[in-house]
Amino acid sequence: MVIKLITSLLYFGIVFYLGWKGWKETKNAGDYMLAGRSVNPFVMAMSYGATFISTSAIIGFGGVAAMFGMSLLWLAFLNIFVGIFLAMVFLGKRTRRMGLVLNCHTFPELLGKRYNSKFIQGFSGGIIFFFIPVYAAAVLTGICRMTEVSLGLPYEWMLIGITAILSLYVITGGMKAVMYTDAFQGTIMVGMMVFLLGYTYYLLGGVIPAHETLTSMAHLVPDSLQKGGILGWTQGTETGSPLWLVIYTTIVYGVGIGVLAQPQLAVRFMTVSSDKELNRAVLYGSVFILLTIGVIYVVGALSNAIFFNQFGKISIQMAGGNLDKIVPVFIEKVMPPWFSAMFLLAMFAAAMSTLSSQFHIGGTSLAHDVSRTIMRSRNTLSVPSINQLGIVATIIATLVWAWLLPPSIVARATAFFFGLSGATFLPAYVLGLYWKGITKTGAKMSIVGGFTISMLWMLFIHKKEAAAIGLCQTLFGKVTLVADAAPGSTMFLLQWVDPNVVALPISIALAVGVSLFSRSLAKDHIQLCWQNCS
Amino acid sequence: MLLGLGSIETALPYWLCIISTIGCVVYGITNWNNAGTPDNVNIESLVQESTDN
Repeated sequence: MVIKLITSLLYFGIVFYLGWKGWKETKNAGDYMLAGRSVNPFVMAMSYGATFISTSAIIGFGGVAAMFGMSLLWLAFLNIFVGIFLAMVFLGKRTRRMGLVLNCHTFPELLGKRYNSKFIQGFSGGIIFFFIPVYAAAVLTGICRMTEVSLGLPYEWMLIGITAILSLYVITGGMKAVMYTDAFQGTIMVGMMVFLLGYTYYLLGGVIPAHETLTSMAHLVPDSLQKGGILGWTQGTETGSPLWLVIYTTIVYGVGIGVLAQPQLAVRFMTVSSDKELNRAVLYGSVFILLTIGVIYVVGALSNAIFFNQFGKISIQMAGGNLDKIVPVFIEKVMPPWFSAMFLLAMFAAAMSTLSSQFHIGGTSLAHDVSRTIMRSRNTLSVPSINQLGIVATIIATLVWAWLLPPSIVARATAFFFGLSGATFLPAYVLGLYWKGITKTGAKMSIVGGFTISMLWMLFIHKKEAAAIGLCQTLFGKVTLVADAAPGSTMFLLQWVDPNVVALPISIALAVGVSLFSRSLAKDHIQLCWQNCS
Repeated sequence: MLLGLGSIETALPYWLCIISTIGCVVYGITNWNNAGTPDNVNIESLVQESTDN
């Protein structure tokens, strides 16, 4: 307990110092929203990674890996190749260049100015402000549950305490405070995860023996998972089975591809001063993702072998049936006592780095994009003050969701937001950076269409969300519209297909199709957008 | 090649994670000082504009 207390005090002391440093260096709106466009590549990459990887990813998906096995490594691969390499090299450089020439401070402003549309800026900002608190609430509940298990502190106290600490430095220090603290928090995460992986392999006698032990345990996979299509923790899944659909459409497709259009990540491309910083960030970012996400999927799956060797039970049994508790229980029961204190800090770091960015993007979306679109006349408040009010509104919305969300939703809320962002923003964002022919109407149709289809699918077809929200049950008297189709038929299986599998292609088709038949943007405007792009 | 894993469905992404990270590290090192074509927008003027807001 003493170790936990000292390390926690040290950690919070450094976080406060970095928050203070960010506040001291923040002089204007550019500093508050984009950290002055001159961030060091290491800080940028660590901030990008730490924002990307939250406790949801580590605790939630670590638990999912303990259930579904190592097939989840496809997601880690996509996160490195798509989320880091493609994102930074092909989207990052152009986002930075176009954002600079159009003088953009936020992701919705980039879309709005690229298409010369106040509607796009306001609508995109509105979606971010409305939905980012749901994702933030999932992250917040994740860390509070972990503290509940580890320290025995009441859940509600943690909810308020963590939010208060974050509020202090995000509201006052803006993007600089967010990115400095992110970089520190990201470094802690990497250190802890490397030890976690090494110790796990050590307990099982090395890399190959560890994998072999888990491979030999396929018969221990719970019946319900076997019926769903899981063949074993290292054997993969039966193609076309419901759980195959869950793994490859929701998790891999939804989260792996959806990451490209994450507003809180894309905005970071505009915080550096040249392409050089982004090239260097590719190096730091990929190592970070491998050592965090890659590690937890392997450790999550291997936890079954360790638990079985030491306690005669598999992970989900050890966690009393709650997959969000698998990683916390593993840390408490298996790892050395000193590590549980350090790991708790790493989880604080993961949660706080993601939450700070979520509060910042939610606040700036409301203040800079939504309110400015609705209230066109200038008001008397300064830009930082309006942004600070926006952040306060985001924090309150997050707390409300945190109280309302059901317990086992951590992994789903992340997938939900990533999926929604993908269908709504990806085509307009990517085509806007690379295709001069995309029109304002094409972009509007793609954004509104992608969002609408994605939401309808979640409300009426995709079982996980439809059942939780209950609108379909209220209106039509059944959980989903295809719930009464013949079991095993294509219609029936649609209930497990991620919204993005349908919504993203439609959103792309709308962007391209409508652009071919609608009025192009003015040549001067296109020239301006491309002025700084090589 | 399977590293003790039970199928190619899990061994392939295991290797791909490592290989893609190595690829990213090599990319970062080879392009360490490659700033691309210089910006034709003056950041200083944007900073000034932000201050004026």
